[in-house]
Amino acid sequence: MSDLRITEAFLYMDYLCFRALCCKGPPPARPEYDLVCIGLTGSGKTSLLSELCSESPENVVSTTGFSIKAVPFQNAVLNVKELGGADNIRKYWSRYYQGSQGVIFVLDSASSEDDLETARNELHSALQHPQLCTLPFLILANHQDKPAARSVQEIKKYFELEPLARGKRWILQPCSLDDVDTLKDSFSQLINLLEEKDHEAVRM
Amino acid sequence: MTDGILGKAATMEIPIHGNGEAGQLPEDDGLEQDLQQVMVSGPNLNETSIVSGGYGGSGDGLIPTGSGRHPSHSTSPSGPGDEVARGIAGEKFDIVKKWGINTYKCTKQLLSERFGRGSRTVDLELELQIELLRETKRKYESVLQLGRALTAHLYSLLQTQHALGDAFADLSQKSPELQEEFGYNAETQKLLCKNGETLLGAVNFFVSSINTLVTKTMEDTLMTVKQYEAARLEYDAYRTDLEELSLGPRDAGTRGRLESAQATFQTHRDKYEKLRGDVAIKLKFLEENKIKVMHKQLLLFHNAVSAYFAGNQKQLEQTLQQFNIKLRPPGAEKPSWLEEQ
Repeated sequence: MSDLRITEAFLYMDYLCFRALCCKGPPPARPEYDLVCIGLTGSGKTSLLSELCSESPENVVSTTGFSIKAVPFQNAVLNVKELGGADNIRKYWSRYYQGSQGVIFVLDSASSEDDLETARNELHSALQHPQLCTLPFLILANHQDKPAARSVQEIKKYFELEPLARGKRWILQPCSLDDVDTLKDSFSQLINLLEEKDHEAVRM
Repeated sequence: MTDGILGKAATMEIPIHGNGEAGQLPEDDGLEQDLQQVMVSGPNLNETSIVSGGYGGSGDGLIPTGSGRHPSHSTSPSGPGDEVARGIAGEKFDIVKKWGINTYKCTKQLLSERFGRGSRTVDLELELQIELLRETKRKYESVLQLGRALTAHLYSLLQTQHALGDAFADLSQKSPELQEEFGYNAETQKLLCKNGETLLGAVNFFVSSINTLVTKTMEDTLMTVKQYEAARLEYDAYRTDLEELSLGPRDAGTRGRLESAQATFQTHRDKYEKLRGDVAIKLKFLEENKIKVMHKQLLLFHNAVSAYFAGNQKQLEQTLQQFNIKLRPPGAEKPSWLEEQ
């Protein structure tokens, strides 16, 4: 008798599972884009990406090597390959550029003059790299909540973005962990650029 | 043993004018005889025949490697007048010709390796690490598949518990004599369902993270490994080509070809060495990342599962808070195992 009841239970579960499959069907897949995220150590790359993934931005340690996070948005999933920003890791960045469809560059708006110059040099190198030079760039001026943070205008001028990146598709946005909505809006703009690229590819 | 010796020797600098060691001569003779049988054309063909061989090789369905994917940008030796005369068609012809030659050499090298005659550059330590990565990836894919099966089972269990709770609640209203008994059971099933949804959220997070690790993070390194393996084949093909030329007669014609082969070989050697370094670095970084990700995910999985089966709702909720996993708010579509497919 108990064996029969167990069998009935399993049959019922199969029925429920089958019904779930019939009713739902697979949801339409959101497009996926592969991005690379670079910037000096301490600029906030891991914290920002963790926040977007609904993971804890606390206890963030410096990234060694790389990590890949799947960051879900309403209309796309971004597979972000985050590379460590320490001196001894930056020289390996280019080994991870292949296959990227976009670039996220994170800088610390409140950093020292020396670090800001280093960040500018790294951004210039990335903008000119053969595997990245045709891709859209999202440049995040992070730590805008700090008193010493430079404004977006100051950063744009100092980084010489207007002359240097003319003809390229780039977005420069202020951000901080305090303002998640602005952060998400920045990424939505990047997704728009990526979608434009997709449409162009389809047209060709 | 012989292959091992050849493998080690192959990583050393090859002298331009040095003859092969006496011990290698019988091996080369055997190699040449086998190649003449396997290939329609032999190693002493002129360029026209080589091109024909290349086309034939493609016709056999073998996958070409090298210049097909990375077109050569070396300047043409012809003068500017000739360049203008030939134009785009000439450029395309040169590209196809180089691709054909490259494909022929790589196919020849591949076949000679398969038949156990050709020498192959071996970096034993690196190749062991690569094989270990491939095996690890297969095992993680198995865990991923089982994790998805688990979410499917949990989901169907939740459906059953939900339906059972509804049935008990309905009967509680209709059976005054058994109202309390049906009511208790309805509440219990709904609580089980609620905790089950929490567990399902945790397992979904686990599955999603393993999926990213396997299909993105590991795949990123394996992509570089494939390039390294292709570069190794090209390097060995041109090394073999150079060795054969070095053993041949010395006259004005062969000296020019020897110098050209030396330059081409050096280019492929540089590419091979760079990719070997890339693979070594990326394997190290991948290992660090894997340990970090799995440490977190395994801790999450253990804490969530043990809390659920201990019936400890508080600990279960604390687990998700500890890992800051935000479950979808009520009203939003529930996480479905179908989304993980």
